[in-house]
Amino acid sequence: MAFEMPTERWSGKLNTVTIGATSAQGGTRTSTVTVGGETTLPFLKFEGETPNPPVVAMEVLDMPLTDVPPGLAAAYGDVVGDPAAWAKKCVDEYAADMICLRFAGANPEGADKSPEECRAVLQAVLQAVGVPLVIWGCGNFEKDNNLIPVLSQAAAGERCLLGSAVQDNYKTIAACSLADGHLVISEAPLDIQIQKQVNILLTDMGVSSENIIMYQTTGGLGYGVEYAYSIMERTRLAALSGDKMMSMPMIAVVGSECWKTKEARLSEEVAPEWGEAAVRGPIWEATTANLFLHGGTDILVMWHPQAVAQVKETIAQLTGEGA
Amino acid sequence: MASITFRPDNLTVTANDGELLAVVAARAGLALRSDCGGQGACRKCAVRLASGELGGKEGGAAETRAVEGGVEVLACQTTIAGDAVITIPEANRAADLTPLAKTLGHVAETLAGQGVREPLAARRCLAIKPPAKGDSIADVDRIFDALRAADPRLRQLSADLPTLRALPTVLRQSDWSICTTIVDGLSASQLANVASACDIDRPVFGLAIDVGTSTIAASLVNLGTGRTVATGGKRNGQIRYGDDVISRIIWTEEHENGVETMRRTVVETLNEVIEEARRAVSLAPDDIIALTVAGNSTMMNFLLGIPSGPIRRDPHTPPASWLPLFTAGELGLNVWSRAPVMCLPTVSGFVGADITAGVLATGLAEARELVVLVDVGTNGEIVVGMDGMLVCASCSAGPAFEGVGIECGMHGAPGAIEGVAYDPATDEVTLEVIGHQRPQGVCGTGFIDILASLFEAGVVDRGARFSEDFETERLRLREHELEFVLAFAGEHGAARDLAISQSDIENLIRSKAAVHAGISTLLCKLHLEPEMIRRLYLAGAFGSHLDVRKAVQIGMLPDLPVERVEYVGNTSLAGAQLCLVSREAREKVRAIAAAMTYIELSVEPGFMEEYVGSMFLPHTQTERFPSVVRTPTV
Amino acid sequence: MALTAVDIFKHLPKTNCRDCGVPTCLAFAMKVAQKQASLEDCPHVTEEAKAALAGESAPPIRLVTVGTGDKKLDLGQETVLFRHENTFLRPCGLAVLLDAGLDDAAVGEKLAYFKTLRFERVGLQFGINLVAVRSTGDADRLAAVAKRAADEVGLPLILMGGSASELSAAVAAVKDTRPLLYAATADNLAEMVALAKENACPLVVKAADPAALCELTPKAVEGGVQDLLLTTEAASAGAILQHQTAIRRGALTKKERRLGYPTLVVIEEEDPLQAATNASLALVTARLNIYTDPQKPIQIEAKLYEVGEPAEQSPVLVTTNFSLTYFTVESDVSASKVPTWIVVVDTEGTSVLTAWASEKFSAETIAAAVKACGVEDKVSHRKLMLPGGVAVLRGKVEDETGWQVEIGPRESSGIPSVLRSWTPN
Repeated sequence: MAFEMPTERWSGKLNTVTIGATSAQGGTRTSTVTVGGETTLPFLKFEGETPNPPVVAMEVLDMPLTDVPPGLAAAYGDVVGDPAAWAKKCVDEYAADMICLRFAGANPEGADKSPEECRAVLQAVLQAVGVPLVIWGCGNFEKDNNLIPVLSQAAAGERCLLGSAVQDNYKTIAACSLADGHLVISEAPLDIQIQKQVNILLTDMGVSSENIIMYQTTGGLGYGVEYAYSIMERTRLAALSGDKMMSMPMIAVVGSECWKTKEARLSEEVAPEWGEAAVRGPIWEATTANLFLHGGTDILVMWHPQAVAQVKETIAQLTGEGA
Repeated sequence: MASITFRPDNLTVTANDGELLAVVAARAGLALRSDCGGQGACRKCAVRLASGELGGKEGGAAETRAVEGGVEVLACQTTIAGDAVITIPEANRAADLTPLAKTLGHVAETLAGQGVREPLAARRCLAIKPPAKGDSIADVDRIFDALRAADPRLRQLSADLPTLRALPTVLRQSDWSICTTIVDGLSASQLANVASACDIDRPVFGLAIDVGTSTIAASLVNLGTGRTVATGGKRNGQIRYGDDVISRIIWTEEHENGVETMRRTVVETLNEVIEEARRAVSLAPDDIIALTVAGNSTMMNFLLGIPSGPIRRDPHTPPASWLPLFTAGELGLNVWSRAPVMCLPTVSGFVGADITAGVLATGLAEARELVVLVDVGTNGEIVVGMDGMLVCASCSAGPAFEGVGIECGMHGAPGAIEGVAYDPATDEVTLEVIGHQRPQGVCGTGFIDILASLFEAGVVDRGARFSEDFETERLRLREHELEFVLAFAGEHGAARDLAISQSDIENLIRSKAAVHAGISTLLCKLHLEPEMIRRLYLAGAFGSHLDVRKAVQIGMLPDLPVERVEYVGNTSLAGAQLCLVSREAREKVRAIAAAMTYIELSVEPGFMEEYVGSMFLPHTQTERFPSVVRTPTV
Repeated sequence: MALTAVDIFKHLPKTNCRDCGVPTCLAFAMKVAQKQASLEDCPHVTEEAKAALAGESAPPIRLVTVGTGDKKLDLGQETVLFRHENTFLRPCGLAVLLDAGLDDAAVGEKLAYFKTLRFERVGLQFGINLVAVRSTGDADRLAAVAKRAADEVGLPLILMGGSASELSAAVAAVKDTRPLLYAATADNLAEMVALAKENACPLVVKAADPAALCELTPKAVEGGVQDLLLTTEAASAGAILQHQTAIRRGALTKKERRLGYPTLVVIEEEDPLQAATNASLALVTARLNIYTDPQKPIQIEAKLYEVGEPAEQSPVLVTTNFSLTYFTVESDVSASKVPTWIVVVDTEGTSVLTAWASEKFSAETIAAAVKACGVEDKVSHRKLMLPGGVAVLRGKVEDETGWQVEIGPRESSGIPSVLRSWTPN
């Protein structure tokens, strides 16, 4: 008896989401990014569509990193002092599909930058690059509830992706999304139920489910990625089975998490058995990103250009014509 | 000896110097609340010292706190040091308990229809053929023959030593007209007493007892007619050593003679219950000739003075699950001293005799279709039965629905708010209070109503969090968290503001989530769906006016048609009562215990996730609750 | 799909006799379903029952062992498509490729390098598992290099060649190490099968695609070799994914016994020495992560955590290592904006009350954690805060640690207000 390729037929699919708005659409972006729309498990082209390949957003901070690992410093040099230049380098030289602008400097425990200072940075970055933006707060609820509305308004019409809404603090960001036409990152602490809960809370407030991107906080490779991986697989399966509250595309924050790890940071003097540090960090980041791609993530937020290049090539291999 | 007067009750008791004030108050029948088991942490036992002296628990002076109008002490940290007058604030009284011995619905019908088949003990008067020349059959055999002739259902008969010793004299002194007491033992019958023939009309009684963690409830049953003639209930005296099973076990392990003290304490409460029931129908202790006891595994072991340490440690094994008949005398219970005491069997460390009794009373074991029993007591046990399969689990729901750990929580007793409705249009709260009295607190059914009401009105979001921008003065900030005022002081006659805080809500949500997750996980284990549940029996101390629709609305119970859910009251007591009057029941409950498969939820993969999912109103997977519709407020 | 406990229960005597050592028949059925017991453990199960259940319980994917001794590699017997459905059982093997055509010095260098590809993760050693030696046509050369690999590296071998004659000398040289033979194709099947059978070696079967594999594997089995690994000619990432998915789905969901074997994929990329180390480390770690058992509760490492930048006069909280508990507490502490130390006690991933009830969160374990985590060197005060739910432990913890113990709120949400009013005095 001849063997027949076992294919699955799914009743649901992922939402198709576009980030960024061109001038025709009311914004000033020169390109937009569309993700989602998958009709099967990751990259199984023989039984479904991946109409929009996953994309890479590169992360830009509003203030320079302290304690930059050498592997990373080499890639960026001194643009890290200037968010606009930093963003430009990511787009022009490293082919970032999006820029993820994170306002770590606004943290009251740190530099406590004012919303006005942050707005100036945002405006400079909007000027410097034409790709869509992810705008991420500092993680302090009180500060973000003052900061995000200011940034949201400054970028009104640009259809940015705002981060992030959590169970205990989602109303302000939901309101911003409705008022200024942005999308929302719905965040959960490595918990598939809480993810759905935040999605429901957001949609209860009027945010369209098609304006939501899901995010599970996770460590880098070696630090519990398997939990995130399985949640991603299960989330994809839920979407394919028709759960509309789990049908949003996913975003993963890979760069900052991986570069915290000792595997990415330690020099070869300290850890000779681990091989050359300059290569190790990017491989660590790329491997993490690849894992998440296979889990079903559509947007990867990354740091190192070599890792970005490798991952983009992997994406091309898995979704391109030769696949 | 010191004289301690309690206000406003104007009750005076004597006490010894050094005695703990909380214990003295309990002795006076004025038990105080204790959520922390006497650690001085919860401050629920705070009382005012109106006059006199008190000492500190560790010696020295009592720790006092200045409050408006006087000096406040914690009764659990303070000792007697001479005469004193103590004022007990209303809020800190442990509620007097309405006897929680009610059964309802299907289970009540079962009990009513049961009648008496083979009571655990019975008295029968007989005329015995005296011996004569050519007929020298032994005295005992004469009696056995006579008994068997009178009742062919009797099994293998034997007589105990005290009876044998008394026999020859009693027979001859009574002129061969005797009154026998027969015990229907586990596999044989026993002649437990012989006396002169008595007044045939004198009825005999049995007492069915539910030894709960918080309350002990009992039913006094006429063993001739099967009728319940009295019910009683008392707060379990062990509460002073901790309000939950684990704290009490720890207490027994940390105090010298802890096991014995714990045993004595529960026996004391049991004897108070026995006395109350007796007096209600003017009985002498000897008129009660049989006892059946059900309770969770730890309670059963405490009663018998068996160390319970292994129950709290992995893998949580109970020391004994099957028990022989004991006598009331050997357990220290004040009824006929040779009255048989049947302790119903337990299943595991956390599923006890109260649950096997509940399965017996609800008929779960015979169910061809899917039937579920949920006993929301201190621990929340669930039994799922279908077609010969019985699985059970303890979902550790916690006593929130019994009012413990909640600021304004209380048992279902007079003064408890058992029904609540909030109308956002008028900003009014309608209350139903047990006994139609001034509201003092809220009981289980009241909390279910509150959650449903607040959710429906949009005061809380699906995550059960207060919406700060909801327009009402009832929503206010107190001690850094929001609370919703059900009744302001003076409203509806409330003596103080009765409010439910965000923390209280979180506590209740966790409780209801544990119950729902327990049910879901057990069903999942058997590859069954909630829609297949034909009947769901809810037992426990909620209060009798449970609105099933609201319990579904908040996601505590699966989304079943209302008619499939029945609140049945105290099934532990009902099962114990069935065992008093029926041999079949006594045998069945043992078979049930043997057949129940215990599932340890804490190590069951998927339980934790289901629990998190159940913390939403009604649930994260909204598709599981199609009947709960709420328009989101935008 | 696998048998459920309910299916198995139907065939049991249902007497709850406990002769199997398990309290009830249903509990026994659950164990059998989870492969924690076997049907034979019940002395009373009937022959009919055994027959009815037998067909269902043979593993859909064969267990194949490569190598011998403590470095042997067991492959196969997987039962699920996704790790979250239960767990993956047999971590995949990682093999490094060595061309037999290299000169002796180069071979020596490579072999020495392969030995370094072992790394410590979570206190254990993990690394590459096999060395694949590929023939260039010279059978004796292959044999010599294979022997060196076996002796100098000590890992199981894969012998790669296009025909039985290419491989036979090598097989003879190392057959005691049970090498994997690569590969039998439509062209050379009979001779490769014979070689494998004669030497009791597992054999890779290679074909264009899964359908073509289905033609070959039955022939191998008929020829007397059942320990097979499957591979196809797929070269691109997408094609590899498709074929591997087809094989796994076929075996597990379609009960296709012709594909019921572990698989192998050969990936050749340019590989400067150093990058291989990094890649190995990353791959080994990824493999370790993916193959962990998802049924174990999420735990975090038990140690001292910092929220914000706590200093000597900052408060110290104690909690359990159950992820959900810790992250809830951490998030509330963050919200308070008070820099705080958190001592996490290893309670095997159970929450506060559960851990307390089973003595994992006790005065002893708390005291041990406080000692071990080094918080005593970080703070100048000696005040510890316990979760409200374990207020009863206060006295004992004070005795065991010598610290002053405060009772925090029962609810994590109460933490911010408590921290804000906390003082070290």
